[in-house]
Amino acid sequence: MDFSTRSVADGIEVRLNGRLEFTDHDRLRDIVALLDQGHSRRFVVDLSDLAFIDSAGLGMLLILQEETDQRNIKFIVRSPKNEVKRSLELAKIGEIITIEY
Amino acid sequence: MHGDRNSCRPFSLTVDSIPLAARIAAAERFGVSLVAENQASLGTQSGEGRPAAGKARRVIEAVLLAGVESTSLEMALIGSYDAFIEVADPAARRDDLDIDDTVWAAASLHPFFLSLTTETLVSVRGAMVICNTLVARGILGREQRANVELCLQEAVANAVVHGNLGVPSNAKRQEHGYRAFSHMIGERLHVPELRRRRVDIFARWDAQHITLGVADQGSGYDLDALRRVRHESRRSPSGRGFLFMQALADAVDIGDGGRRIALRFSRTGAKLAMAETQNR
Repeated sequence: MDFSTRSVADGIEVRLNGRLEFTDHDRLRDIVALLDQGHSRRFVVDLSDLAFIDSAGLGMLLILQEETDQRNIKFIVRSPKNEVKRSLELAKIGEIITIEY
Repeated sequence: MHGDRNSCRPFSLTVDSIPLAARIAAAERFGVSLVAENQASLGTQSGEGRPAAGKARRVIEAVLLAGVESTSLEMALIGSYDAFIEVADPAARRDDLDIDDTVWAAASLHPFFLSLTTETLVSVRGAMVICNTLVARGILGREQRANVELCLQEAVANAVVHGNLGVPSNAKRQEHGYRAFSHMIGERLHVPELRRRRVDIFARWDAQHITLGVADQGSGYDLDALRRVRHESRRSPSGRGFLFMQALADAVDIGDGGRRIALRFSRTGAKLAMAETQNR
Protein backbone atom coordinates (compact mmCIF):
# COMPACT_ATOMS: atom_id res chain seq x y z
CA MET A 1 0.00 0.00 0.00
CA ASP A 2 1.12 3.52 -0.80
CA PHE A 3 -0.43 6.69 0.47
CA SER A 4 -0.39 10.41 -0.23
CA THR A 5 -1.47 13.19 2.10
CA ARG A 6 -2.86 16.66 1.71
CA SER A 7 -4.00 19.32 4.13
CA VAL A 8 -7.65 20.31 3.97
CA ALA A 9 -9.48 23.17 5.75
CA ASP A 10 -9.70 21.61 9.20
CA GLY A 11 -7.46 18.59 9.00
CA ILE A 12 -5.61 16.03 6.94
CA GLU A 13 -6.71 13.77 4.09
CA VAL A 14 -4.82 10.56 3.40
CA ARG A 15 -5.40 8.72 0.13
CA LEU A 16 -4.55 5.01 0.14
CA ASN A 17 -3.48 3.25 -3.03
CA GLY A 18 -3.10 -0.45 -3.87
CA ARG A 19 -3.82 -3.14 -1.30
CA LEU A 20 -4.10 -2.74 2.48
CA GLU A 21 -2.95 -6.07 3.90
CA PHE A 22 -1.42 -7.80 6.88
CA THR A 23 2.05 -6.76 5.72
CA ASP A 24 1.26 -3.03 5.96
CA HIS A 25 1.53 -2.42 9.70
CA ASP A 26 4.74 -0.45 9.22
CA ARG A 27 2.88 2.00 7.00
CA LEU A 28 0.21 2.35 9.66
CA ARG A 29 2.84 3.74 12.00
CA ASP A 30 3.64 6.43 9.41
CA ILE A 31 -0.05 7.31 9.07
CA VAL A 32 -0.57 7.52 12.84
CA ALA A 33 2.42 9.88 13.01
CA LEU A 34 0.46 12.34 10.82
CA LEU A 35 -2.07 12.78 13.62
CA ASP A 36 0.48 14.62 15.70
CA GLN A 37 1.31 17.16 12.99
CA GLY A 38 -0.49 20.48 13.49
CA HIS A 39 -3.91 20.77 15.07
CA SER A 40 -6.23 18.64 12.97
CA ARG A 41 -9.89 18.38 13.81
CA ARG A 42 -10.71 15.96 11.01
CA PHE A 43 -8.79 13.01 9.65
CA VAL A 44 -10.09 11.62 6.37
CA VAL A 45 -8.88 8.35 4.84
CA ASP A 46 -9.88 8.16 1.18
CA LEU A 47 -10.20 4.59 -0.10
CA SER A 48 -11.32 5.33 -3.65
CA ASP A 49 -8.00 4.10 -5.10
CA LEU A 50 -7.70 1.11 -2.79
CA ALA A 51 -8.22 -2.16 -4.68
CA PHE A 52 -8.23 -4.68 -1.82
CA ILE A 53 -8.43 -4.83 1.95
CA ASP A 54 -8.12 -7.86 4.21
CA SER A 55 -9.18 -8.27 7.84
CA ALA A 56 -5.82 -6.95 9.04
CA GLY A 57 -6.39 -3.85 6.89
CA LEU A 58 -9.81 -3.38 8.50
CA GLY A 59 -8.10 -3.75 11.86
CA MET A 60 -5.80 -0.88 10.86
CA LEU A 61 -8.81 1.36 10.20
CA LEU A 62 -10.10 0.50 13.68
CA ILE A 63 -6.72 1.36 15.16
CA LEU A 64 -6.88 4.74 13.37
CA GLN A 65 -10.34 5.25 14.86
CA GLU A 66 -8.93 4.60 18.33
CA GLU A 67 -5.90 6.84 17.80
CA THR A 68 -8.05 9.73 16.51
CA ASP A 69 -10.52 9.27 19.41
CA GLN A 70 -7.67 9.64 21.88
CA ARG A 71 -6.70 12.95 20.23
CA ASN A 72 -10.27 14.19 19.93
CA ILE A 73 -10.05 14.19 16.13
CA LYS A 74 -13.03 13.23 13.94
CA PHE A 75 -12.18 10.15 11.80
CA ILE A 76 -13.88 9.60 8.46
CA VAL A 77 -13.38 6.83 5.91
CA ARG A 78 -14.36 7.96 2.43
CA SER A 79 -15.40 6.37 -0.87
CA PRO A 80 -14.66 2.65 -0.55
CA LYS A 81 -15.31 0.92 -3.87
CA ASN A 82 -16.11 -2.60 -5.09
CA GLU A 83 -14.33 -5.31 -3.08
CA VAL A 84 -13.14 -2.85 -0.44
CA LYS A 85 -16.69 -1.62 0.07
CA ARG A 86 -17.91 -5.20 0.24
CA SER A 87 -15.33 -6.11 2.94
CA LEU A 88 -16.25 -3.07 5.03
CA GLU A 89 -19.92 -4.02 4.79
CA LEU A 90 -19.30 -7.65 5.58
CA ALA A 91 -17.45 -6.69 8.76
CA LYS A 92 -20.07 -4.02 9.58
CA ILE A 93 -17.33 -1.43 9.98
CA GLY A 94 -19.89 1.31 9.30
CA GLU A 95 -21.37 0.66 12.75
CA ILE A 96 -18.09 1.75 14.35
CA ILE A 97 -16.50 4.18 11.88
CA THR A 98 -18.11 7.01 9.92
CA ILE A 99 -18.05 6.05 6.23
CA GLU A 100 -18.87 8.59 3.52
CA TYR A 101 -19.87 6.87 0.26
CA MET B 1 20.25 -19.00 -15.43
CA HIS B 2 20.55 -21.92 -13.03
CA GLY B 3 21.87 -20.94 -9.65
CA ASP B 4 20.99 -17.28 -10.14
CA ARG B 5 19.37 -15.47 -7.28
CA ASN B 6 16.18 -15.14 -9.31
CA SER B 7 15.67 -18.31 -11.31
CA CYS B 8 13.38 -21.21 -12.01
CA ARG B 9 13.81 -24.69 -13.41
CA PRO B 10 11.30 -27.30 -14.59
CA PHE B 11 11.71 -30.51 -12.62
CA SER B 12 9.89 -33.82 -13.12
CA LEU B 13 9.61 -36.40 -10.40
CA THR B 14 7.95 -39.81 -10.47
CA VAL B 15 5.41 -40.29 -7.70
CA ASP B 16 6.75 -43.82 -7.12
CA SER B 17 10.11 -42.37 -6.08
CA ILE B 18 8.49 -40.73 -3.04
CA PRO B 19 8.58 -43.09 -0.03
CA LEU B 20 5.12 -44.43 0.81
CA ALA B 21 5.52 -43.40 4.46
CA ALA B 22 5.93 -39.77 3.37
CA ARG B 23 2.85 -40.01 1.14
CA ILE B 24 0.78 -41.49 3.96
CA ALA B 25 1.95 -38.76 6.36
CA ALA B 26 1.12 -36.08 3.78
CA ALA B 27 -2.32 -37.58 3.15
CA GLU B 28 -3.04 -37.41 6.88
CA ARG B 29 -1.71 -33.86 7.12
CA PHE B 30 -3.89 -32.68 4.24
CA GLY B 31 -6.94 -34.79 5.13
CA VAL B 32 -6.82 -36.60 1.77
CA SER B 33 -7.61 -40.28 1.28
CA LEU B 34 -4.76 -42.07 -0.53
CA VAL B 35 -7.19 -44.85 -1.49
CA ALA B 36 -9.44 -42.33 -3.24
CA GLU B 37 -6.39 -40.82 -4.93
CA ASN B 38 -5.31 -44.22 -6.22
CA GLN B 39 -8.82 -44.94 -7.48
CA ALA B 40 -8.72 -41.63 -9.30
CA SER B 41 -5.35 -42.51 -10.77
CA LEU B 42 -6.70 -45.83 -11.98
CA GLY B 43 -9.60 -44.14 -13.66
CA THR B 44 -12.39 -45.42 -11.40
CA GLN B 45 -13.12 -41.91 -10.23
CA SER B 46 -12.20 -38.75 -12.02
CA GLY B 47 -12.71 -35.04 -12.06
CA GLU B 48 -11.16 -32.05 -13.72
CA GLY B 49 -8.80 -31.44 -10.81
CA ARG B 50 -7.69 -35.04 -10.73
CA PRO B 51 -5.84 -37.16 -13.28
CA ALA B 52 -8.01 -37.90 -16.29
CA ALA B 53 -9.62 -41.33 -16.38
CA GLY B 54 -7.18 -43.99 -17.49
CA LYS B 55 -4.28 -41.55 -17.32
CA ALA B 56 -2.69 -42.19 -13.98
CA ARG B 57 -0.69 -39.33 -12.56
CA ARG B 58 2.66 -40.92 -12.09
CA VAL B 59 4.82 -37.86 -12.58
CA ILE B 60 4.81 -34.50 -10.84
CA GLU B 61 5.62 -31.74 -13.31
CA ALA B 62 7.09 -29.10 -11.04
CA VAL B 63 8.89 -25.80 -11.27
CA LEU B 64 11.63 -25.08 -8.74
CA LEU B 65 11.85 -21.39 -7.94
CA ALA B 66 14.32 -19.09 -6.21
CA GLY B 67 14.36 -15.34 -5.56
CA VAL B 68 10.60 -15.18 -5.92
CA GLU B 69 8.73 -11.88 -6.17
CA SER B 70 5.14 -11.23 -7.33
CA THR B 71 5.89 -10.79 -11.06
CA SER B 72 8.26 -13.75 -11.37
CA LEU B 73 5.85 -15.92 -9.40
CA GLU B 74 2.95 -15.02 -11.68
CA MET B 75 5.10 -15.64 -14.79
CA ALA B 76 6.10 -19.06 -13.43
CA LEU B 77 2.49 -19.99 -12.69
CA ILE B 78 1.40 -19.26 -16.27
CA GLY B 79 2.73 -22.63 -17.45
CA SER B 80 0.74 -25.84 -17.16
CA TYR B 81 2.85 -27.29 -14.34
CA ASP B 82 1.30 -29.00 -11.29
CA ALA B 83 3.63 -27.83 -8.55
CA PHE B 84 5.69 -24.73 -7.78
CA ILE B 85 8.27 -25.19 -5.10
CA GLU B 86 10.63 -22.56 -3.71
CA VAL B 87 14.16 -23.82 -3.10
CA ALA B 88 17.47 -22.14 -2.30
CA ASP B 89 19.14 -23.38 -5.49
CA PRO B 90 16.95 -24.68 -8.36
CA ALA B 91 20.05 -26.04 -10.13
CA ALA B 92 20.85 -28.50 -7.35
CA ARG B 93 20.39 -32.25 -7.78
CA ARG B 94 17.31 -33.74 -6.08
CA ASP B 95 19.27 -35.05 -3.09
CA ASP B 96 20.91 -31.65 -2.58
CA LEU B 97 17.70 -29.61 -2.73
CA ASP B 98 16.70 -28.00 0.56
CA ILE B 99 13.34 -29.77 0.55
CA ASP B 100 12.56 -33.23 1.77
CA ASP B 101 10.12 -35.96 0.76
CA THR B 102 7.28 -34.37 2.74
CA VAL B 103 7.11 -31.52 0.21
CA TRP B 104 7.12 -33.89 -2.78
CA ALA B 105 4.53 -36.08 -1.06
CA ALA B 106 2.29 -33.04 -0.53
CA ALA B 107 2.76 -32.03 -4.17
CA SER B 108 1.75 -35.53 -5.32
CA LEU B 109 -1.67 -35.15 -3.65
CA HIS B 110 -2.81 -31.97 -5.37
CA PRO B 111 -3.30 -30.98 -9.01
CA PHE B 112 -2.18 -27.43 -8.18
CA PHE B 113 0.36 -26.95 -5.42
CA LEU B 114 2.72 -24.24 -4.21
CA SER B 115 5.26 -24.42 -1.44
CA LEU B 116 6.79 -21.06 -0.54
CA THR B 117 8.82 -19.85 2.41
CA THR B 118 7.36 -17.53 5.02
CA GLU B 119 9.89 -14.88 4.03
CA THR B 120 8.65 -14.93 0.44
CA LEU B 121 4.97 -14.87 1.35
CA VAL B 122 5.48 -11.68 3.32
CA SER B 123 6.74 -9.93 0.19
CA VAL B 124 4.64 -11.41 -2.66
CA ARG B 125 0.93 -10.93 -3.19
CA GLY B 126 0.35 -14.67 -2.90
CA ALA B 127 -3.46 -14.83 -2.83
CA MET B 128 -3.77 -12.35 -5.69
CA VAL B 129 -1.24 -14.12 -7.91
CA ILE B 130 -2.76 -17.55 -7.26
CA CYS B 131 -6.27 -16.29 -8.05
CA ASN B 132 -5.01 -14.61 -11.24
CA THR B 133 -3.55 -17.95 -12.27
CA LEU B 134 -6.63 -20.01 -11.42
CA VAL B 135 -8.81 -17.56 -13.39
CA ALA B 136 -6.39 -17.64 -16.36
CA ARG B 137 -6.45 -21.46 -16.32
CA GLY B 138 -10.26 -21.48 -16.33
CA ILE B 139 -10.45 -23.18 -12.93
CA LEU B 140 -11.87 -20.21 -11.04
CA GLY B 141 -14.72 -18.10 -12.44
CA ARG B 142 -14.54 -14.31 -12.35
CA GLU B 143 -17.75 -14.24 -10.28
CA GLN B 144 -16.20 -16.37 -7.53
CA ARG B 145 -12.84 -14.69 -7.59
CA ALA B 146 -13.47 -11.90 -5.04
CA ASN B 147 -14.71 -14.29 -2.35
CA VAL B 148 -11.97 -16.82 -3.00
CA GLU B 149 -9.20 -14.22 -2.99
CA LEU B 150 -10.31 -12.67 0.30
CA CYS B 151 -10.59 -16.07 2.01
CA LEU B 152 -7.26 -17.27 0.62
CA GLN B 153 -5.63 -14.03 1.74
CA GLU B 154 -6.96 -14.58 5.28
CA ALA B 155 -5.76 -18.18 5.34
CA VAL B 156 -2.27 -17.24 4.08
CA ALA B 157 -2.00 -14.34 6.55
CA ASN B 158 -2.93 -16.68 9.43
CA ALA B 159 -0.42 -19.30 8.28
CA VAL B 160 2.38 -16.73 8.02
CA VAL B 161 1.74 -14.56 11.07
CA HIS B 162 0.15 -16.82 13.66
CA GLY B 163 1.34 -20.16 12.26
CA ASN B 164 4.95 -20.00 11.08
CA LEU B 165 6.00 -16.79 12.85
CA GLY B 166 4.08 -17.72 16.03
CA VAL B 167 2.84 -14.17 16.67
CA PRO B 168 0.00 -14.49 19.20
CA SER B 169 -3.40 -13.41 17.94
CA ASN B 170 -3.95 -11.11 20.93
CA ALA B 171 -0.78 -9.12 20.17
CA LYS B 172 -2.77 -6.27 18.59
CA ARG B 173 -5.37 -6.00 21.31
CA GLN B 174 -3.37 -4.04 23.87
CA GLU B 175 -2.91 -0.27 23.71
CA HIS B 176 -0.59 0.58 20.79
CA GLY B 177 -0.50 -3.18 20.19
CA TYR B 178 -0.04 -2.68 16.44
CA ARG B 179 3.45 -1.32 17.10
CA ALA B 180 4.33 -4.43 19.13
CA PHE B 181 2.68 -6.60 16.47
CA SER B 182 4.62 -5.03 13.63
CA HIS B 183 7.85 -5.20 15.65
CA MET B 184 7.25 -8.86 16.50
CA ILE B 185 6.75 -9.79 12.82
CA GLY B 186 9.96 -7.99 11.84
CA GLU B 187 11.90 -9.56 14.68
CA ARG B 188 10.72 -13.10 13.91
CA LEU B 189 11.49 -12.71 10.22
CA HIS B 190 15.11 -12.31 11.29
CA VAL B 191 15.13 -15.79 12.81
CA PRO B 192 16.32 -18.13 10.00
CA GLU B 193 14.42 -21.12 11.35
CA LEU B 194 11.13 -19.18 11.28
CA ARG B 195 11.51 -17.33 8.00
CA ARG B 196 12.43 -20.55 6.16
CA ARG B 197 9.34 -22.39 7.38
CA ARG B 198 7.08 -23.28 4.50
CA VAL B 199 3.50 -22.51 3.69
CA ASP B 200 1.92 -25.02 1.33
CA ILE B 201 -1.02 -23.82 -0.74
CA PHE B 202 -3.11 -26.15 -2.86
CA ALA B 203 -6.18 -26.23 -5.06
CA ARG B 204 -8.39 -29.17 -6.02
CA TRP B 205 -11.56 -28.99 -8.06
CA ASP B 206 -14.29 -30.90 -9.83
CA ALA B 207 -17.19 -29.70 -11.95
CA GLN B 208 -19.11 -28.29 -8.95
CA HIS B 209 -16.55 -27.15 -6.40
CA ILE B 210 -13.10 -25.75 -5.93
CA THR B 211 -11.22 -26.30 -2.68
CA LEU B 212 -8.24 -24.18 -1.72
CA GLY B 213 -6.10 -25.04 1.24
CA VAL B 214 -3.21 -23.60 3.20
CA ALA B 215 -0.92 -25.55 5.54
CA ASP B 216 1.82 -24.14 7.75
CA GLN B 217 4.62 -25.48 9.94
CA GLY B 218 3.73 -23.61 13.12
CA SER B 219 2.70 -25.09 16.43
CA GLY B 220 -1.00 -25.23 15.61
CA TYR B 221 -3.97 -23.29 16.75
CA ASP B 222 -6.33 -23.48 19.68
CA LEU B 223 -9.64 -24.15 17.94
CA ASP B 224 -11.61 -23.10 21.01
CA ALA B 225 -9.90 -19.70 20.86
CA LEU B 226 -11.04 -19.43 17.26
CA ARG B 227 -14.63 -20.14 18.27
CA ARG B 228 -14.42 -17.46 20.97
CA VAL B 229 -13.51 -14.84 18.37
CA ARG B 230 -17.13 -14.29 17.38
CA HIS B 231 -17.96 -13.24 20.95
CA GLU B 232 -15.27 -10.60 21.13
CA SER B 233 -15.73 -6.88 20.89
CA ARG B 234 -16.57 -5.72 17.40
CA ARG B 235 -14.08 -2.89 17.97
CA SER B 236 -11.22 -5.37 18.32
CA PRO B 237 -8.55 -4.82 15.62
CA SER B 238 -8.18 -8.58 15.03
CA GLY B 239 -10.23 -11.73 14.67
CA ARG B 240 -12.28 -10.98 11.55
CA GLY B 241 -10.38 -13.25 9.15
CA PHE B 242 -12.08 -16.42 10.33
CA LEU B 243 -15.47 -14.70 10.24
CA PHE B 244 -14.84 -13.72 6.60
CA MET B 245 -13.99 -17.31 5.71
CA GLN B 246 -17.12 -18.62 7.43
CA ALA B 247 -19.30 -16.05 5.67
CA LEU B 248 -17.88 -16.48 2.18
CA ALA B 249 -16.80 -20.13 1.80
CA ASP B 250 -19.33 -22.96 1.45
CA ALA B 251 -17.28 -25.05 3.88
CA VAL B 252 -14.30 -24.37 6.14
CA ASP B 253 -12.34 -27.39 7.32
CA ILE B 254 -9.55 -27.02 9.86
CA GLY B 255 -7.21 -29.94 10.45
CA ASP B 256 -3.74 -31.02 11.57
CA GLY B 257 -4.18 -29.31 14.95
CA GLY B 258 -5.00 -25.97 13.35
CA ARG B 259 -2.05 -26.05 10.93
CA ARG B 260 -4.22 -26.66 7.88
CA ILE B 261 -7.31 -24.94 6.60
CA ALA B 262 -9.31 -25.97 3.54
CA LEU B 263 -11.95 -23.72 1.99
CA ARG B 264 -14.55 -25.04 -0.39
CA PHE B 265 -16.42 -22.85 -2.85
CA SER B 266 -19.06 -23.53 -5.44
CA ARG B 267 -17.77 -23.08 -8.98
CA THR B 268 -21.23 -22.19 -10.21
CA GLY B 269 -22.39 -19.46 -7.84
CA ALA B 270 -20.86 -17.36 -5.07
CA LYS B 271 -22.29 -17.88 -1.56
CA LEU B 272 -22.39 -14.13 -1.10
CA ALA B 273 -22.40 -12.42 -4.46
CA MET B 274 -20.78 -9.03 -4.99
CA ALA B 275 -24.05 -7.70 -6.44
CA GLU B 276 -25.86 -8.67 -3.26
CA THR B 277 -23.70 -6.41 -1.12
CA GLN B 278 -23.56 -3.61 -3.66
CA ASN B 279 -27.34 -3.38 -3.72
CA ARG B 280 -27.74 -3.10 0.02
